[in-house]
Amino acid sequence: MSDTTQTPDAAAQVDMVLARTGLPVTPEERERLIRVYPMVAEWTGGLRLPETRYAEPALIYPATFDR
Amino acid sequence: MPELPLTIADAAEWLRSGKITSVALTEAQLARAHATQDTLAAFILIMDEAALAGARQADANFAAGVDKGPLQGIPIGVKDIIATKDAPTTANSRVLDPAWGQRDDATVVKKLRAAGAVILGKLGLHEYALGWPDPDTGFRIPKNPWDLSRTPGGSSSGTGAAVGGGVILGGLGTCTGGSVRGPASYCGISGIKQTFGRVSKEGCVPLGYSLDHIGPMARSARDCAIMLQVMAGYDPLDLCSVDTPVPDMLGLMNGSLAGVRIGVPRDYFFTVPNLDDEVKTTVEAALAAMAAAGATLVEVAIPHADAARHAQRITMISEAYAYHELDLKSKPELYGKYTRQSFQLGAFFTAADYVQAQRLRPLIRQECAEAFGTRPGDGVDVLIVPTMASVAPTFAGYDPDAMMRSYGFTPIWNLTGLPAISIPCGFSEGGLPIGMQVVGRPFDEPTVFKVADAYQQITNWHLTIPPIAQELAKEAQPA
Repeated sequence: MSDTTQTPDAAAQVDMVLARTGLPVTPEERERLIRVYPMVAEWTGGLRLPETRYAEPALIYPATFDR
Repeated sequence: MPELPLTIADAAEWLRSGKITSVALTEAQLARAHATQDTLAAFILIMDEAALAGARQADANFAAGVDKGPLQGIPIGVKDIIATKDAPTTANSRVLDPAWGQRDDATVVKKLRAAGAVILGKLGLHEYALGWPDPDTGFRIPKNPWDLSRTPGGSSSGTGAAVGGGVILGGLGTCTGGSVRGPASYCGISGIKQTFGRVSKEGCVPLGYSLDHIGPMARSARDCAIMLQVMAGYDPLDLCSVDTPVPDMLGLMNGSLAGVRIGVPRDYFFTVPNLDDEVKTTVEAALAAMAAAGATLVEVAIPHADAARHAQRITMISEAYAYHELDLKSKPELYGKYTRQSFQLGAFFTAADYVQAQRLRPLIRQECAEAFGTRPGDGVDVLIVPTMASVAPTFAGYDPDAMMRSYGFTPIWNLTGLPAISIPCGFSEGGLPIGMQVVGRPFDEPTVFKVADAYQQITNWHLTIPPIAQELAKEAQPA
């Protein structure tokens, strides 16, 4: 999903994800997912900025018994 | 002239001067709520008996000289994704376990009740605070008080409709990417998403754990400040709650814009292709009015604002998918179709996508910090940008995929956690409200309120009410 340097076949990608996750969808929903797949790939591709190559994620786990 | 107060601040004065009782105010607002259920359709549940009991208690307190503050005796609504002990919570969904909905008050509801507020009912919303209303789910679909063929925005659609339509004086919304500010903009009211962690979200069904906020919506910025003053504060029951002092939310309000420095990030926020010219010119006119009132406009930049939009969406949908995955697999047919379709996208993001979105957050935060200026006095006090790219769209012809493709101006403030209020700043030629956001530094809501209130002192957009509210004002007489 993250690799936008290639142009994967959207239907194959969608079917692979649906098979892996076991997510039930109607035929109409599958068609929609194939239609929006390039947009989703654009979103994820748009996150891979050079400025974040060595950035720390905004994820903090408080190692405390208080909360 | 409406015979009921337009704002919480006015109502608080009326209650203390004896001009009205809480019972009379509550009865009148209950009458409006019932009278508009076939038009505005703002409520999932109207709580007549509980509301009147609360109003009687408020009046008894006034009579006994007990005054818990400006919300005492004020009827408000609660978005039906926030728990209340005396009414079920549905999240506007057939999916939510009824057992969840039969729990204690959420922390914010406890605080509001403790301050004497009267809970009038549970307000409609987009299912689970996402997607678009699906009539097949059986829930009422709230309408825009300015044009019933249009959406009031979402996901806090019922709160926007009810406040905008004059049914209630204030209410709670929730916001993960714009669900308080969007309806505020579309309905011509004010609504704030305060700093992340300022208000407990305990007792609220989650959408995006790291983006969710519970925020007040009301006619004026001052009313939002009055509500937020009560709602704010550390809560150990919410892992995201921040233990920091709560300032006087109204403390900086002096009606003046003199010396205020307003940052205007024109690139992206005023240049994206889906921004309506009417919205752009209206917000520009508001900026000019503020400059004429003494503010200084400063050009600033947030270079990766567009990437922030992607990061917010991937974070929100991934976190939502984690919450909904089991139900999406075991009972997908119970979801509204637009909600289900929105959540399904979560299966397509990888763990690396999610973490990468979190790596982007510090970058955007740093760009915002630079836009504000890194040293106090050497930068800007607030940023101002449009709230929505257009006026409220019609229900007809809704295209969820087109909506996902469009550029937005609200999600970035959920991603960064910065406080942002939407206030009305004008109307389109077609008579529909337009809003703008005033964005502040972390935990600096008082400055946000100062600027928003000062603008509302020199304009009356926020006090302009739609025809449906004018009709209600003629019909519903307080006892």
